[in-house]
Amino acid sequence: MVRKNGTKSFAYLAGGFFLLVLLSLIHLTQGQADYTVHELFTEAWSPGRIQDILLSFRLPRLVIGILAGGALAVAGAILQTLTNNPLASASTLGINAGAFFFVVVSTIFFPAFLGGMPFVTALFGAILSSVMVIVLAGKQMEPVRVALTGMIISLLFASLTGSLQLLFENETNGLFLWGSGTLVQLNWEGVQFAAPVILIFFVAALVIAKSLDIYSLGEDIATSLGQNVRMIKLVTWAIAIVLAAVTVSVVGPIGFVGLMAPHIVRMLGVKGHFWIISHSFLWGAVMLIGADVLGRFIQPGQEVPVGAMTALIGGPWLLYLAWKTAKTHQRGDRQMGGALKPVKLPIVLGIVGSLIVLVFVCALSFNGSEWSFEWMKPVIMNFRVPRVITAFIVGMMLAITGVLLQGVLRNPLADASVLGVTSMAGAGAMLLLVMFPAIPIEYMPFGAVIGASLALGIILFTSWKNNFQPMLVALMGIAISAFGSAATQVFVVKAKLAVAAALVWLSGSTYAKGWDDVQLALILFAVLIGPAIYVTRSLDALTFGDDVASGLGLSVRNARIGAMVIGVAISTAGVALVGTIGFVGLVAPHIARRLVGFRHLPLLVVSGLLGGLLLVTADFIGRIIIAPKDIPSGLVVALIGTPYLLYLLRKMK
Amino acid sequence: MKRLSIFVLMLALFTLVLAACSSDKEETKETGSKEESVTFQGTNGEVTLDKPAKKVVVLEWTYAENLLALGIQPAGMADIAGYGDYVNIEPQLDDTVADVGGRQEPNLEAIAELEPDLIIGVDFRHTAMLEDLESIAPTVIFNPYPEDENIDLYEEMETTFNEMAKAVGKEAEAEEVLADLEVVYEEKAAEIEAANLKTKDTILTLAYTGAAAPEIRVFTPNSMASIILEKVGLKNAHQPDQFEVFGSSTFNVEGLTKYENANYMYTVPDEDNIYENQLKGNAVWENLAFVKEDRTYDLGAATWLYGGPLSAKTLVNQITDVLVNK
Repeated sequence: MVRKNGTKSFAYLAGGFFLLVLLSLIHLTQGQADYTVHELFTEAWSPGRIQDILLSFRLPRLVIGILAGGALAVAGAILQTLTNNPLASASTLGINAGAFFFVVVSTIFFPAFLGGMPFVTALFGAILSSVMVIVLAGKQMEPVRVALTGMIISLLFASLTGSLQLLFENETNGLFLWGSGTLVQLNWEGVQFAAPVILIFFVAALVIAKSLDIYSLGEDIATSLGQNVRMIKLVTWAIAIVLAAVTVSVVGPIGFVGLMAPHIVRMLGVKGHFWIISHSFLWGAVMLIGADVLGRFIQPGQEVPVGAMTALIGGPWLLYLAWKTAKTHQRGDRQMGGALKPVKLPIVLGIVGSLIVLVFVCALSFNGSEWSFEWMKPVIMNFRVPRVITAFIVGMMLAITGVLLQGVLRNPLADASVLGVTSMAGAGAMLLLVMFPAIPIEYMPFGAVIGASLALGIILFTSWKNNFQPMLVALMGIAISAFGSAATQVFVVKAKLAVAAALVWLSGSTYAKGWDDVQLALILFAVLIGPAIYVTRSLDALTFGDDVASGLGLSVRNARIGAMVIGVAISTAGVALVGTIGFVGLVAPHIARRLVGFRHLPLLVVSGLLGGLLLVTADFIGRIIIAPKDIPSGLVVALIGTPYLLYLLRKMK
Repeated sequence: MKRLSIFVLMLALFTLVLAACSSDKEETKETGSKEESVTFQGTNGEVTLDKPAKKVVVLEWTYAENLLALGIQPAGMADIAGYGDYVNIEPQLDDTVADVGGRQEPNLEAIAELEPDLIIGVDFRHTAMLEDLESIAPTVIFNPYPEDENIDLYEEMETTFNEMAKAVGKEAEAEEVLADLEVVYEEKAAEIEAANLKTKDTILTLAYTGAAAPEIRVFTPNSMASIILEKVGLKNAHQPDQFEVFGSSTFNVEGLTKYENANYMYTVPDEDNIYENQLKGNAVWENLAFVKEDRTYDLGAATWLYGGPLSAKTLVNQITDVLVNK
């Protein structure tokens, strides 16, 4: 048996190697200088232009592609074992996003530093985001929780990166291509730097393969077999982090390879970590080179970010994977938490109400340099007042979405952004902008609605049979969201200069909201709030678990569909009004739950008010802090909301 | 439960009342001016003012430069600090010019407080907020990057400049500025002719650090900078395969081999000088004919390859300078 496995494994290895050689040869013929295969083949051997080009551009590009693909795949493979999570990879855990954020920071603030490789900063970012994932995901490394945590951290860093690109528009010009990953090389420096590191850590991964075999049996068994589990974990994390940081610092954050390659390997039936890691390296290289070949085949002479190509191939794959994973995993209901001795509702409402009044007064009276209480002055009446009111209503909507979706998914980390609705809405809007550049920006919400409906459609379609098991829905959401944000990256690269407009919209902005918007927001709110209040009853029943809920005469499936459709509808309304603002839907319900407990109606009301308060505050801060310039409120929310969220995740152990 | 529903209802009502209180006050315009009304054209259609605009708010650098060329200081302008960093030409902005926030999300309240006669914006940023801007003052939007392949970017620059001149009643000055520019072109063309260059084929580039390799923007024949090259008798060697709406293709060093027989003219930021840092010692770069034969021309870090007539004038002087004095 072992022997047979070995031969099969060897055959696949040989096959993969052959494929890699083939792709590499094609890869070498591609480039901006158009040489024919014949010219290349005859003149490559003697000194001259063609040899120079091959040696200083094309070969380094090929080699870095092989190394990066291999490194990402190995990182993915060991992270999947480590977190016992088939969806783990450097990109889904937020490690790539963290590394890239610090690369952007160093580019803007210490440009001279970047002369070499920004490896140090990338490594710092990668370590930081990994530590955050480890600390926040809890001891048990429960797959969904790990994936959700990784995603929230990705979202955080992505929004921070977005804000920097927005504030330093001209300085970050060169970063767009890098931001989606590119293999382009100038000389052997990148390879010289990356190759030793990647090879050393690749070998290190092979060395600990045996221990990983034992570790994958479960921590308890591993410990009883005499393994130092803590040590193994630490070493494995270190290997994965370094591999991810090296690739990000040389070729940018490239997603999906680290996810797909190990899966293909496992699907081929390869067993044992030694072989899984070796095969992953090979297949990761094959995939990345293949993606680069494909990208340059589609648009010869142009640089299509290779990360875009891997996303294009990898997105649907990830969906499939999520679907498969969810089917094999047991359902993971968790306690939602919530105060057992709720504070009396009138007291809560009184306090929140007076806070709202206070913030409203501040927001209406201060413009960053002077106080003025003449609210009826046309300048304030036409611009400031409607803006503040819109922010309040949208904040309420987002918070209510959070309450509904968390109720359905029985997971306190659920939110429209976690379901992939927000990111698909963003991708839809960007697609509209790229396909019809002439289209006025007012029409972006249509694209958003289409994208959000698509996300919801996928979730409904794939989860129907499973009665909308929270686990499956959450995993699908993560997959959709990863796909959506990758697609958005691609479109941002395509849209070039118009990017600033897109970035503002994507990061969410309560800027320039007039009375028309207030009207629209009120109408949408009035229409949607009724059904939202109605479904709170069935959500209360669902908190007792599916069995009890059906015992109470509730159709579990219908209740879930109902709440989910309404939740997504409200969040889409919010996105259509102000773009993609995240975090409100996560933070507000949490605070509310701690104040008034887990009954959904009071929760809905208090969350709504808190959400409104949060967004008005964020809008106010964004408006005054570098006045007369504006910081998009979505970014301020992310900055205010994240520390709280992190604290909360930590407490939720 | 019931009390809560009532509360929610009341909340909704309260917000509704607030909305109803809003007043859509129409701005009453002064009529009966002595000066004639002016009409001009932007991408948002024809705009008519009762009299030429005095207080103008500009939301994009290029248009601020245009105003300065016409001898007018804007009343308000977006991202003044950035303008100072990137566009550095005479005449300078006064200290009295008010900052109205970022270019992407200008501060509407700050604009409104200036009570301008006219707001000038750029298509890819400000069309989205046109209604809000128009509620403050008449607004005109221009598009420096038309989708139409037949309009070259120099022509667009001239048209926009003339339309802006109409808006502020300075058509004569505009004509003068443009005519002056043509004279400069002729003079400089003669100087370059006299310099007896080895070749007149030239490519013009702007480079910055990309990921691991520099990215080089090579200007296409439809760009303003390239047309200025042609006006002084040089020839842009770069012919792109596809229409580039922003007037430049992105190359890496490998792509430059196609044009090695041309002159290589470039601008690169001081703090990110790829020629000094990354390309030095690179076999392909060092062996490019224009590097070997010393036909690379540095236009200087401060040269702005976009903009209006003043930037064009600075650029043409700079081009001639580096070619003739090398």
